[in-house]
Amino acid sequence: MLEDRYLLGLLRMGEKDGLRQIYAKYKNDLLTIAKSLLSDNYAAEDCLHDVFVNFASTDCGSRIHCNLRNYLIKSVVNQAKKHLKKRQKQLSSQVEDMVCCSHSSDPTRRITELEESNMVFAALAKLPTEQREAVVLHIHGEMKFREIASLQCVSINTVQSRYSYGIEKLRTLSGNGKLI
Amino acid sequence: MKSASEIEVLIKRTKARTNAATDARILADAEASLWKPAKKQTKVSRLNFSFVLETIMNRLVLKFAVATVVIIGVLLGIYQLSDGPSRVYGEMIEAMKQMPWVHWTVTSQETDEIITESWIGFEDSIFAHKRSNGTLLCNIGNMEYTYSPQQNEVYFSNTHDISREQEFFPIASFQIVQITIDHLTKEASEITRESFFQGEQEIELVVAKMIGSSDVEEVELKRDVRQNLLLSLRVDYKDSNKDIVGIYDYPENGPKSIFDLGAPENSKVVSLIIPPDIPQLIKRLDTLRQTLLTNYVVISLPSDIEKLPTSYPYRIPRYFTSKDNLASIIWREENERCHSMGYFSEEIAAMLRIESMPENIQSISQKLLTVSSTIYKASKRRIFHYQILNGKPVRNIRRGPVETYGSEVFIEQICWPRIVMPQNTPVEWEVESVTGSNNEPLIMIERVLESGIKKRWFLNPARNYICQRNELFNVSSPISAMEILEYARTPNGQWYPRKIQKTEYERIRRNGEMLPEISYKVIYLFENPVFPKGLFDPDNLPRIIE
Repeated sequence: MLEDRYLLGLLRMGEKDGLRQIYAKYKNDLLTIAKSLLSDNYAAEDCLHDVFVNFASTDCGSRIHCNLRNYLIKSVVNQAKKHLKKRQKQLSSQVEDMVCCSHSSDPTRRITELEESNMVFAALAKLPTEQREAVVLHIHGEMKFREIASLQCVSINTVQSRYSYGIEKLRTLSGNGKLI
Repeated sequence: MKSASEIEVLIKRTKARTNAATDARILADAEASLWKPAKKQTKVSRLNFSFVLETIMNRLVLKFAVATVVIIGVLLGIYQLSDGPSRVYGEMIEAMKQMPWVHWTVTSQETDEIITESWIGFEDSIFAHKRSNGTLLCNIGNMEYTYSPQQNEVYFSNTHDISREQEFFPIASFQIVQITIDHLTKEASEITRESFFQGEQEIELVVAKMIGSSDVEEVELKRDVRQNLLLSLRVDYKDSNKDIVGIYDYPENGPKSIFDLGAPENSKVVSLIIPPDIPQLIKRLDTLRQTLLTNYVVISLPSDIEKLPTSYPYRIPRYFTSKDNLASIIWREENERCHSMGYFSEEIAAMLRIESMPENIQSISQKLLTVSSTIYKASKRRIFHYQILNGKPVRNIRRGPVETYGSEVFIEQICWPRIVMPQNTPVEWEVESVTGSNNEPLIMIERVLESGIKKRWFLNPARNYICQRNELFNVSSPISAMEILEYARTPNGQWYPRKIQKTEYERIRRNGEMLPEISYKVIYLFENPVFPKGLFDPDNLPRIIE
């Protein structure tokens, strides 16, 4: 938290170093969320790109008074929504093309991780958008249901239901062998 | 069927990672659009005392000059507002240099914790430094020893002279002195000097109170009047948990090795010594970078000669769309980056005819669709930003100190790139003579970091050591490469790159297939252009439409 404040301070002064450090700190988490929501490698990278360009180009530093991580996650979610609106395509058709990265040094393990990741992203893509958002933000974004509720402009109970339904659906998919 | 918690773990474990090429692209775009404060603060108030001290400590380059930096700064600053600044400052530094050792500690006033402890031995040219995190540094003659408590390793290297000569003295030393002086002269509102006796010792106490945007509230300095030696320096911040005290003394002896300083005798000793050829080559590159191509206008265009292959995937990332109509123009005047512009026009030919661009900013801008421009004039501490859409300026001109130069790569940096020697990191270096694709002999320098990141530079001695090719690898897989395909010469015979090819190897990953992405740039260079007087005056720029 203190580190974030320091980085925001740098950013407020227009320091590139602040931007670089913020990017390095959050890039993978944000990309994971974007990819989970968009189910498309390129779109997720675009989303990350747009979020950081917007973040850099506006005086975000002075507008963020609470949690930088949550702020960036919310930006990614909003950006992802814009991307989805723009695309208006069926997600499932693109999922097969996705490529994930595994950084394990063991080749067998690497392949397993890669397949596992692809299947998880593919399974997430089969969830309705709201449920996917609730699952991804709660698990990857480490956001509380209360925070997700505020982001989605719904009640906390609705978010909890969406989350439960989402997880249940993923369980069903795992039963069908569609999720490892 | 898996349980809900197993599903959650499975999702949690799934991670996406960016690659180096993506990082570079995103950061370049984000940095290019980095927001700047509307009203620029001066460097003085931005780079406050804590920053200055932190910079000194972090750099671990507190050799002799640095040891006196804070002292010099404070004294000059204070005495500039009173009588006899140079004499008092000069005499005190000389007096300190006559002592066998200078020892000082910097302590946090709030916690009483020693933040750093340092020694300078003038007779043996030793600088020793201890940080609260356990890191130790010992600089003896031309060798530098560093102890890392995390690794329990002692590194010794011979590289510091290069990095310090190039980076420390011009940037850190000069800048820190300058900043400190500025800080005090501009922000000190009230300075008091008084003398008193402590036992038989006559002490002068100088107190400066700060005003304005300074984050420092008060600076207090104590000097032994008879010996003319600094005794202590106290800096009180508005934020009291940053308050520090520096206490100076002058012992007969000090640590003469990293082990005297506290490094365990059993710690592993790792050599970071580099082959003698490499520092010489790097020095040569630094000299060439500073002495050749000092005045120029460069127009850089993406080449439309080489089209992307037809088998290129359906989706061309928009960062690499063939921007046929985009050009950038960069000026350099007397070693100073002056000007950079990005043009987006329907007619590239128009841009190629703008050799006399300096005096034609207004007329050119009216012919182009979009001009995004930044003018820098570092020595005059000015910066102008403006953007033109459909020939109409839409952004305000701003003035202020120049601190960044944008993301443009300047021609001299392409020709003679800075070869960085990482501190405290084991690096394997190699120098080899090889033959280039055009059968010219090249000198290859290879640097491999412990992490597996490898970089190679191929210097062409026949063309003023221009870096003909550089390559970046992650272990054995290539990440990117830049190569000069064609050279050209200025009228006075100076070589420069005409056509540059850039290859990004990891850009495309689709169906497991990786395709390199290749882009080209063509450089048109006009050396020794005449920069008309008043070029950087706001009046000469297009009128702003609010």
